[in-house]
Amino acid sequence: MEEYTDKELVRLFREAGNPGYAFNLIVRKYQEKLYWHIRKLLISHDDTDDTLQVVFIKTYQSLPGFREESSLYTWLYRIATNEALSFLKKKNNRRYLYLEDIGTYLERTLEADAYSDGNEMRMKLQKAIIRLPEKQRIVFNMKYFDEMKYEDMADILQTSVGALKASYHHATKKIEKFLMED
Amino acid sequence: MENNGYIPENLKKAGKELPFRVPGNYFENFPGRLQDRLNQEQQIPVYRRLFTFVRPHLDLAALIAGIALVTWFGYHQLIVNNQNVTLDSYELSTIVDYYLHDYDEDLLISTLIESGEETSLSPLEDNSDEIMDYLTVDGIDYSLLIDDN
Repeated sequence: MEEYTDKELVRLFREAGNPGYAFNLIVRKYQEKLYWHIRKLLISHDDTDDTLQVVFIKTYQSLPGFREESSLYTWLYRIATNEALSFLKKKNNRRYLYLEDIGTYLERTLEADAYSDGNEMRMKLQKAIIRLPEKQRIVFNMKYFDEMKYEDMADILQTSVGALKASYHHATKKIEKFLMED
Repeated sequence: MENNGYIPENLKKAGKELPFRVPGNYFENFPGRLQDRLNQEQQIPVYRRLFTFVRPHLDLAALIAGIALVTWFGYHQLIVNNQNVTLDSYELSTIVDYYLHDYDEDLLISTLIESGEETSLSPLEDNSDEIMDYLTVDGIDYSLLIDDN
């Protein structure tokens, strides 16, 4: 399959007679990256699958108006992050009825999800990440696992590089402390 | 602050692999499933898509409407219905009759004078015979009254 650049994909979507073809190429190019980005936030495979579909549907609907002020890559990550956070917010609102906070819900999901497995240390690391505040959790995941540049993260999360570095630093400290506890 | 590349010892031990996996052929099948869902979305009428968008906000709208309703009723009851009420002399006398046993005479007279209503409390005319007749009905000693006069 011919590898297109992001700019070419956007142009292909807008100008060619068949936007479905260009969109399919975009989905194939970014589905895995976005899936893992969302999965790290939502933990559950089913929730991630549902959210990923919503992300691409919104992408399809919004692409004609995409102004290319940022790259397609950061734009997609921004949509994915927002959708994952909005999913958690909705879940959190519903869980108030059961007096369970979202952290407890995610931890329970981590232990119960059919598509979660791994050694004890990896599971413990995920539990430590779940306990972080929302922003630190996102920043830690993007930096530690995806090894994303701070500049790209700043574009996606629309914040400063300094704030991101501080968040990552605090997150790392908290996680290390959690991992040291037995 | 530590270097950006610094990874503490225990975190290093945990590694960068995730404890997650996906069902078999998930990424191969995903574009097809997405296409099906996109087709479904495009077939949904606009008003239903709009309702799906509005639905999460309906509870908030209901709450605001409820508060507005309660505020309006409260305002209506407290302010509008509580405006000064002017009583005509018939209503006033009915109220006075009803509460008469709680009034002392001075209070009753001062209330009537303050209300500005025309009353029959005009200065006594020289009709002492009538007064004497009225008082003697209750068996008061007539001679005593004459002496007082």
